[in-house]
Amino acid sequence: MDTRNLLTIINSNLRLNMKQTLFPAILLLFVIPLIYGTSSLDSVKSADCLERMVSLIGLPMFVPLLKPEQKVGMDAIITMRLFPYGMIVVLRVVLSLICTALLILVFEGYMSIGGCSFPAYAYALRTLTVTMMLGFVGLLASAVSGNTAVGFLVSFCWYGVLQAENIGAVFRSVSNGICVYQVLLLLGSGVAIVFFSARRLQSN
Amino acid sequence: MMRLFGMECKKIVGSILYWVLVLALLAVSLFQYEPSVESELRRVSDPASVFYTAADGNYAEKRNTVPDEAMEHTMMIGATKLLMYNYRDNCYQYYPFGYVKEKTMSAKEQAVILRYLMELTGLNEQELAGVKDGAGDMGIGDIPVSGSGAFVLEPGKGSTDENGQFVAEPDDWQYVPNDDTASEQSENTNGSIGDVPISGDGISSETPSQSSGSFEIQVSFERFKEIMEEVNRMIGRNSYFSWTMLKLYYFGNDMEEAPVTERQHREFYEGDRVTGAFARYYCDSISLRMLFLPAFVIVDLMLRDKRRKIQGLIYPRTISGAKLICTRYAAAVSMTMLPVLILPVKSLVVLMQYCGSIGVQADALAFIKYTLAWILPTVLLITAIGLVVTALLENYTAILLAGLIWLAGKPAVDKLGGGNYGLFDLVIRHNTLKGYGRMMENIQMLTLNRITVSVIALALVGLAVLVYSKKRKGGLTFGHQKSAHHHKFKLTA
Repeated sequence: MDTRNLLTIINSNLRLNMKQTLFPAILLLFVIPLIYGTSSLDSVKSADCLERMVSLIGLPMFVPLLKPEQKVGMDAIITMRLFPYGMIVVLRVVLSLICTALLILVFEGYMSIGGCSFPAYAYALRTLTVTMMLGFVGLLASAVSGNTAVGFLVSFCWYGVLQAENIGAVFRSVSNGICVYQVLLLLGSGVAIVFFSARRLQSN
Repeated sequence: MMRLFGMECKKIVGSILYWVLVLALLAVSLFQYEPSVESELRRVSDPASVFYTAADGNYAEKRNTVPDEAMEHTMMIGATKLLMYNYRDNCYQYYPFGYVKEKTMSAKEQAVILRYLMELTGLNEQELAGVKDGAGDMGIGDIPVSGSGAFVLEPGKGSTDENGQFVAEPDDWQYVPNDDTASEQSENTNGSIGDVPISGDGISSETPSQSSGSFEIQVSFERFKEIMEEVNRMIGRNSYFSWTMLKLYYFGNDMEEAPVTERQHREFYEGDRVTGAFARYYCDSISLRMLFLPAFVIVDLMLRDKRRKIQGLIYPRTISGAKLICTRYAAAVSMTMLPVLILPVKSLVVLMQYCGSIGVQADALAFIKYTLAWILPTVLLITAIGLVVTALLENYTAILLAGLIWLAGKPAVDKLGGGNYGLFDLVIRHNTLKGYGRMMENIQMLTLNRITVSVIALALVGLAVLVYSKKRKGGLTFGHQKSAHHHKFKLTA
């Protein structure tokens, strides 16, 4: 595949998902300062803000990525294509990942201007991990069920679990740091997403 | 009509989404609500349990009579110190939406605060700026420790978790030596600032617990309340200086673990008839979930036609849009409410058995009454929002919108204990088994709130009918949607 083809695929996938991922995520980031304190926070409170609020962008950024193929009749068209669908899913996830990282950095910049003090790059990486975890859980549910709404609901439930005192502490990466299990879980769920989305398409 | 209703219900039951919702509610019931019932039943002889019945008829002193001059004084000292710290940092915390926010005042507003502080303390600007932080003295919600001091919960430290429960982490409490020691330390560090007796209410002799250590209040309690009200107005909704928050922190509240009073005992057995208190607590446990989850059911039901590309088959049917939309709405609401009504049955049976064993007449219908009055209007509204948005846009925007409503609709700390209702509160909180009287005192506002929410919901259903009917006729499309008849015109009458 030459560079031009790759650029065409990136361009079309970006356009396809922009409305469902980037716009809601940006809207969410605009709402956060209205309801949650985002200025003059110390590192502990900043971590709480990033973990509890900013990580929510994982829902719009990842969960609806498979939605275009979940319409009836689309699978036949996609199956006939030469380019493997699994690669398209990986590409979309990577694109979303880049956009998510950028959004987190922009929001962290906004927080820093507001007088918050925290290690920006370390927190950005940790927030990205929490966001990815939240998004991947929903995306996996969406891939398995073939229904984006199920993905959203499972992600929401995961978010609820994350707030529970005992169970959720392991996955509160911004406050507690990233553990190796989380990385393994992310990689595992990433592989599972590609596997289930491709398999679902073949079985239809 | 009933056949269509049955078909829609069947569609909902067949959706995996519905069962995830049921599982989520089951988890809340199993891990949050039922343990509290069991724990309460395990300690019926504990004076702090709502089940406690004193053999001699003597209960703890009624807390409402406790807010005497000493408590008022503690409140005035604590709130004034907090205001002083906020003034120095020019950072004022408040809860507009259930999450803490900070406000920075303008120079003009700071001058007003300074004037109030000077009036409250009798200190001048330099003295106010120079008073050292006696962190231990800004305490609220002291827990006395035998011997020498108290654990103090600082304003802003106690918070609500995602479940809406009031949480005070161990780190939120700070050990403070007794006031004599604190007073001495404070005087040593501040030099000349001594205690000045209250001028307003005539108290001049101080107990150790009343000592502020660095200044004394110069105004009467009534004037203090006026100043706090003004300060709260300047900061924003639900600051720590609002009367509700001050009462919550300084006059105690029945969310705390404290021996039951005679009034609370009477309210529990006669007003709530035991099950009422638990029904209210159950509704409180699930209330925040019901602010979001019902949207999934209706969105999935509405988008099913689009996913299966059967809109073209449904649109030309003779059934009216109103009938179809109302039936779907009724099915979604009924199926969402079904697990909400079924889940507390186990605890109801346990409570009824216990009441039977002690010869108390419990209210068997309490759970149904509370669930229908407290939870149903919220479900009606969220489902209606989901319905109208999905009918119009035919995508998942309603889920995002419900998510935003859930984020913003979370009630502030002052609503947790119940009895403090607003006309447009989306959920009703009552995070305690006590407080029946408080609820009844404000029952009119509560009723008005639930009626308002229900009426708005029904108005939205009407709007959804209108939108759907227009779409069927091909007269309303949005974005890149195709009209039912593939006409090109958009948003026409």
